[in-house]
Amino acid sequence: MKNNKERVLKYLTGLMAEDQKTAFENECKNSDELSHLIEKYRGNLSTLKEMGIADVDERYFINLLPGLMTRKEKRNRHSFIVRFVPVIPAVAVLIFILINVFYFDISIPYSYEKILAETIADSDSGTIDQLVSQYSASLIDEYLLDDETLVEYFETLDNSEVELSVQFNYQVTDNYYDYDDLSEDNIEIIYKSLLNKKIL
Amino acid sequence: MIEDKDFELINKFIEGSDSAFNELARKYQTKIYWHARRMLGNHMDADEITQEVLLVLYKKLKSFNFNSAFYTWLYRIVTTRSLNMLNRKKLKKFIFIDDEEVSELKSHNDIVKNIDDKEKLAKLGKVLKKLPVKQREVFVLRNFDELSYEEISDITGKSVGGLKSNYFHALKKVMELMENEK
Repeated sequence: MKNNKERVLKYLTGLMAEDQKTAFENECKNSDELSHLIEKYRGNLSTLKEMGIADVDERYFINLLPGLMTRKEKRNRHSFIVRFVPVIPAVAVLIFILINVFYFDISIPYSYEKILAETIADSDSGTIDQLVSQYSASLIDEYLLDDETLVEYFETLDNSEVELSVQFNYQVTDNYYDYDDLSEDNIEIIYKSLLNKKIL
Repeated sequence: MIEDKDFELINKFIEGSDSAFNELARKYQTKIYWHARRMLGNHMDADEITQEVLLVLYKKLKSFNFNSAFYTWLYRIVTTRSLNMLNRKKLKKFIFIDDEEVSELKSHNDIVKNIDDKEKLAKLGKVLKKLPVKQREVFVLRNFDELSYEEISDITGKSVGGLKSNYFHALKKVMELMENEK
C-alpha cells in the first residue's frame, strides 16, 4: 500500500521516466487500488486548490495602484530632501571657509594688534610714555593689553597724538627685540589698518 | 500571444506611457497578491509584498531584457521578496515572542470578508505552513499558479529534477496532512 502511494505520487509529480509512466498507466487500468489512489490524490489537490479561492473586497485591487502611486510620489519627495541632506554640511563648510577668507583679507589678525600694543608699551620713547601716562599706566600691564583696553586707550587719543604714534613706528620696532622679525612694511600696514578701524 | 501583449505594454512604458504600466500592473496584481499570500499566510504581509513588487516593477521595468517571459521575471521578484520576508519573520520570531496584537490586526484587515472563505484559507494556510519553505514555493507555483517545471526552474534557478523531487515531498506531506485531518 505504502509502495503504491509512493508510486502514485511519483506518477503525479512527473518523477517517472516515460517508459515507467506507460507501464504504470497500463497497470492502473487493471488495478482498482491504484486508480482509486490517483483519483483520491487528484481530488485532494483540487480541494486544496478550491480552498485557495476566495471572494475578496475588490476595492482593494481597484485602489492598490492609485495608492501606490501616491506612495511613490511621497517617496520621491522624501528622497529629494534626503538627496540634499549630505550637501548641507558641505555648504556650511564652504560658507565657513569663505567667511574666514573674506575676514582675513580685510582685517589684521588679533595677534598683530597685540604685538603692536606690546611694542608701543615697551617703547623707550618718552613721547609714547607720555601718551600712555595720559590715560593710565595701569592699562598697560607688563605687555598684557587686551583688545578692548587697547581700543579704549586709543580712543582717548586726539589726532595729533595719533600722528605722533605713526611717526614713532620705526623707532618702536627697532627698540623691541622680541619682534625684530616684524618687517617695517608690516608695521606700517598694522598702523594704517588700526587707523582705518579707528583704533588709532 | 500573452507574451507579445506584455512585451508591447513594456515597450510602451519604456517609451514613456504610464498607462501601459497601469495596464500591466492591473493584469498581474491579483496573481502577485495571491502568490505572496499563499507563501506568507496573511493579508498584511501579502499586501506589503504586492506593493513592494509593483514599486520594483515600476523602477526596474525599463531594464527588462526581453530574454524571458515577463511573468516569469515578475514571479522571480515576488518569490524572492516573499522568501526574504519569511527569513526576516523567522529571525524576528527567534528574537521576539510572536505578538498577539499583531496577529489580531493581520486578521482584522483582511480583504476576505466571507467567514467560510476565511476558514478555508486558514485551513490551507495551516497545511502550507507545515511545508518547508522551498517545498512550499514549488507547491504553490505548481499547484496554485499552474506553472510548468520549466517555468518554475526559470523563476527559481533550480533544476527541473530538483523541483520534481521537492514537489514530490511536498505532495506527500500534504496528502498525509489531509488524510490525518479526515
